[in-house]
Amino acid sequence: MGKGSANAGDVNDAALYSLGRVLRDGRSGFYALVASPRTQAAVVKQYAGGAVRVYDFSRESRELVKISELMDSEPERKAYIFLNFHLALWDVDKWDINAVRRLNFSRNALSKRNRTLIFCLTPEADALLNRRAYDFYDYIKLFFRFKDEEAAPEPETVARPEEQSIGVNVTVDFSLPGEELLALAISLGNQAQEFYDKARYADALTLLQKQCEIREQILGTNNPDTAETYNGIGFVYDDLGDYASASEWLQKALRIRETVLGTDHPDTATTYSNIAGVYKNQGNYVSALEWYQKALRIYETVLGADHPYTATTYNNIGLVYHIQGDHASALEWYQKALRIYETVLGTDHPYTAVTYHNIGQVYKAQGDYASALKWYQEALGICERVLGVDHPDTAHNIGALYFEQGDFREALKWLEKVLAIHLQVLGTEHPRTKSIQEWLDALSSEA
Amino acid sequence: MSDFDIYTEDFESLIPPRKLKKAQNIEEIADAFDGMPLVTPEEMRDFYIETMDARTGNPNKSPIFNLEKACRIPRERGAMLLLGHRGCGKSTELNKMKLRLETEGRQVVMIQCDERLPLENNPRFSDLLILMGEALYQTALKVDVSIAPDTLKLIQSFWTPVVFETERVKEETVSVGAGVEIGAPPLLQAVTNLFAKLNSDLKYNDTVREKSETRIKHNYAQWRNVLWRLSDAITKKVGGGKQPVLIFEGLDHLEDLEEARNLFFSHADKLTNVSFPVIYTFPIALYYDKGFAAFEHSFQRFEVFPMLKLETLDGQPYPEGVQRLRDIVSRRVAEGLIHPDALERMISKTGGSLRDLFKAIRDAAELASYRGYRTGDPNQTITPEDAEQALKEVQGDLTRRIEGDEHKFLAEICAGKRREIERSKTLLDMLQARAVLEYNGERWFNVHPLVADYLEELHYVRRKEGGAAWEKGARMRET
Repeated sequence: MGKGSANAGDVNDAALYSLGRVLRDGRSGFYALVASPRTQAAVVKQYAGGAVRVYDFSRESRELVKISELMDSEPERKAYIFLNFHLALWDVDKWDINAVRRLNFSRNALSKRNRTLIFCLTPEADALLNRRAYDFYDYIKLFFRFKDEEAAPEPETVARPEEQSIGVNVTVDFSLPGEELLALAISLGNQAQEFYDKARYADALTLLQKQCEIREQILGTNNPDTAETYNGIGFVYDDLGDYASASEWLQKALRIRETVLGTDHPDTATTYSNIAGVYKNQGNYVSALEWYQKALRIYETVLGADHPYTATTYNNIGLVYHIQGDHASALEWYQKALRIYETVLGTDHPYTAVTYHNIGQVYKAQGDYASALKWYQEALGICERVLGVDHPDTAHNIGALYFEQGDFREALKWLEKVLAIHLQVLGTEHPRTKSIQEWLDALSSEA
Repeated sequence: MSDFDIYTEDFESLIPPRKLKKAQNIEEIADAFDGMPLVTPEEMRDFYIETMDARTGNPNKSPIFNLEKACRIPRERGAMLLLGHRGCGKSTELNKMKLRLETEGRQVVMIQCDERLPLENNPRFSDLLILMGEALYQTALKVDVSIAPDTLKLIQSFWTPVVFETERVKEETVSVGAGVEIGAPPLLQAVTNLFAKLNSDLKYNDTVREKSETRIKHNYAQWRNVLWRLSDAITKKVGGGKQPVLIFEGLDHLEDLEEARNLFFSHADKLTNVSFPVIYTFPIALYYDKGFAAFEHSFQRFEVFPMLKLETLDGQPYPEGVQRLRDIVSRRVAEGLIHPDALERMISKTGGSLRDLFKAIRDAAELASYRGYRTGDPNQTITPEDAEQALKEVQGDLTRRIEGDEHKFLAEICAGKRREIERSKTLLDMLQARAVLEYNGERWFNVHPLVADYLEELHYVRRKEGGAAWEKGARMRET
């Protein structure tokens, strides 16, 4: 389960306090500062230039041996902060397990020097060291865990220029040079993703269709990037409940991906997975499982057993079992997904929330309402923290849970929330909005 | 410091070494519980607590004492293994044993493999044999043995082709350390230089390491001869039949079991063919490997260093274990800084793992310290709430290591269903991850209490009301 909903400000204050104290008192040993690179930089900024040597692995040599070389060259210096330390453990596109082992094996040599060594880790690198370098990890005296928030101001040097927000009504000027159009296509995709994440499916679709126009015209209809757009459009249609269109677009994507990328490419797997999703929504569970397994084979082999995509597929397979009433299998697959999500993405990620939610669903189906509520609330907590909104599905289910327990007043409260979100996101005419409206009307008279 | 000061790279650090001291306030707790082994006689005097009887459950049974005894008796084959969990206190016990043997006038060398060997490559058996030779050579110099010219020539002719043929370009100047005075006989000087070069090549020159392996593989008898001659010379010089003792520390950190298996199982014959006592620390997980039975006989003896246990096999509390942990803690922290309930909770929930207990105490102290800062009242102590929150952190670290079917495996141990645990990869992995702890030195397992709690939270385990912290331990099938 997640670590609860401790306020980010409090968490960061405590971490800052501990970090400051260690540096002020010159306490020797290994310490880990766990935060996103952005927050790492913001926190560490104030210490640079003083008695502390800040070494940034994103700007200087990424070799591990730099750590001891630095200490050799500065016999009097006591404290070091290694920014973006995860990059010393990263090899092009994957974790460098040899570097991890090297680190594990060198802890005595490093600790013997009696310095203050602060390693700045991303949460993913933290999880990696916890699992792959026990010995090193055990020597870490204290962890300073930071959450991303405004309190840790983003330093200008690492600030990313904000991408200009694109409205739904953007018109594409096809007289622009191809390069610019392709760049626009990428921005459209990013914006579509943002809409999608906020459940604004129709808006997402509009932007993807514009992206499709650009890519088809410039890249043609047999290009992996065009396939990406087809895949995205199919994916969104699925969410809008138009399964025929969803299938059609996904098959278009699949044709390109299987031909151009091959049948063992993760992108091809993604389309397999999306096709499975459509089958699932159509109630064809046998085909759904079959296509999820096709995707899983690729993900597990190519991306590895602890990749978030693998986890998502575990989650989705769990869902199919769940729908079929096989609660034991469902829980088993959900837990598999959760282990990866919690480890790799952390307990504050929307995907983790989805699986929490799903687990809640299983407990509910089993009549274990207390457990169900616990998991729902955990999920909702993440949604509120991360997305800034109540997730309609989770809120809906909490409402339903109270309803089943006969607490109509509480149910009403939650369903009203749900309705508000649905009205805002899907509009008055969407079948889901309508059915919630009907339910609410009925419930109002009961309560 | 080790006996190798003269040839380990001198960092010329102006930072003084660690000084362990009893925490007098909450701020000093993190340093007092840093989890590093005790080394010096002063540290032993101030912080060491005898725990062996509470580990084995029998005052007359001590794996360390058995090794120590064996070190005193000359044998044809002197290699021994010490197996134990990470962070269970092995290194401190070995350091303590070293000090005891030294007071009898014996020469004991602790070889820190993790500091001496290359970090990016798997250790080779030949690396260990080279370190062995170097340790004996340095010891011989230290006790003023006049090494026979034959032996020196043998060393020189053995290594010169390996070391100097591969380095044609670079003109190395090797500094001569203590033990060889300027103006020492040229042969002695040459051999000292050779070892200095080898020592640095072991860490940084993989070509030389590879050549060394071939050299030792093909001319093993010659090198063994050197080792035997050096150890004999030292024994004679020291007198009383007291052989030098070598302890290889850090090999139990080998993360990759396949690697460890390769190192120990494939080369057991060469690593054990020594006429003086050599102790290798060894990854505990390999003890449960199917290959272990076939290879254990190569060693004169092997000992398992168990966790401090807090319960008996049938689930009854074991107050002796708890008391030892209280004693260890009270040596390191002034009275009143940890609420007794907080301490009891941290002890019982860390299952006898000193490393986890220390981590919980450090984290709890940090929480208390921050509270002091927030409230403006610096006189804080560790409360039961601090302990609870700190234990959550430790639990998080442990449980993040568990994946997929491992949950079920652990749940079965918790439920006591699996009284006979098969030697499986899952067991090895879970031992490595400290999710499963091994007690009593006789293949008796329990799931770490914090992991058991977590499994219960996830509904893998349903606990009986009012039952023990976790269900009875399970025994491994003895085969």
